[in-house]
Amino acid sequence: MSEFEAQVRANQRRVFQIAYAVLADAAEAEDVAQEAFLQAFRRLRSLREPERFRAWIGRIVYRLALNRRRSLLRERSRETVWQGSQPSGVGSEKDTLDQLFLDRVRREIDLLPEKLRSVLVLCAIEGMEASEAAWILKVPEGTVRSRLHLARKRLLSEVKP
Amino acid sequence: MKPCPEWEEQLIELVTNAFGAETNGAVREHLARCARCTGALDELQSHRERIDAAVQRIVGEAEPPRGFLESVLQSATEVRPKRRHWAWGLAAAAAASLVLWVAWPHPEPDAESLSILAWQSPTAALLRSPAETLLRSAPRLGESYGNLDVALGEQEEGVAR
Repeated sequence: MSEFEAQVRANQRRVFQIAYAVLADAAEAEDVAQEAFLQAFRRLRSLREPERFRAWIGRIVYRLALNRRRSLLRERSRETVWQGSQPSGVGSEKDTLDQLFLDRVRREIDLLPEKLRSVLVLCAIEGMEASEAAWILKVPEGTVRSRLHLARKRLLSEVKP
Repeated sequence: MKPCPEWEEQLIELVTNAFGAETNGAVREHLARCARCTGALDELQSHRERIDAAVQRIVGEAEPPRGFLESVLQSATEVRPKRRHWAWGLAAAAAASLVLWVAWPHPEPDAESLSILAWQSPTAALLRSPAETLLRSAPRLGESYGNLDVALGEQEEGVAR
């Protein structure tokens, strides 16, 4: 348990951020992040390289979050997921960027095709390299870069200054 | 500031880092001569940075709620890591089968069973003819009569009688 506890302690923020990046809902992200850790705990024996835990749990939480998002989108009739609740711990958005601008960006992120949105939000996580995002998404690194470029281009043209 | 229409797309590509050095060089050459496009590029660059900051803020500031670690660890104590139950089950079934087979009474065959086992078809009896014996015992090409078994003659006589 102590080894698992150390892994949870080291990766909880990142796992939560991946879940939140996909779901845009703090409560849902918490559920999914917790489920991801429990799945990892149950399957810990199948992990041959413990040093790969971070990438491994990243892929687990991403898949779970994506499934949850799809099911939420089916269930909910609201326009966008990103217009939902805010994550806990986020302060006033007016510190550096105004709320309206953030809302527009949120809306546009949500309108991106899933493949572009996934890459954009994963690569926005602190310390997330393109190679790691590629591993999580099970696509080549070059694909991550090209999708990231397309996503940025789309946002640049859709979110007017 | 609006850029030259024919260069607008290239400027967007430039700020989203899509082109290689050669293409960037062509755009740079134009920028060196065009103040309008230079101004537009600065605006685009600044706008892209603002969007990137917004995306990073939306995703990156999500923090796991208080008590998340404890909650995960508590849940983990309630589940056990998956073991290979099927492997143990298979081994137990194999051991039980072996014990059952050894312990199962194996009765001696009775006279009727032995007679059935000893039964031979009439065709088999017909095949035991002097000609067949001769064919089997005759030397093949390259063999010598000197190797002929001395007892063979006696057997042949017996068969003939």
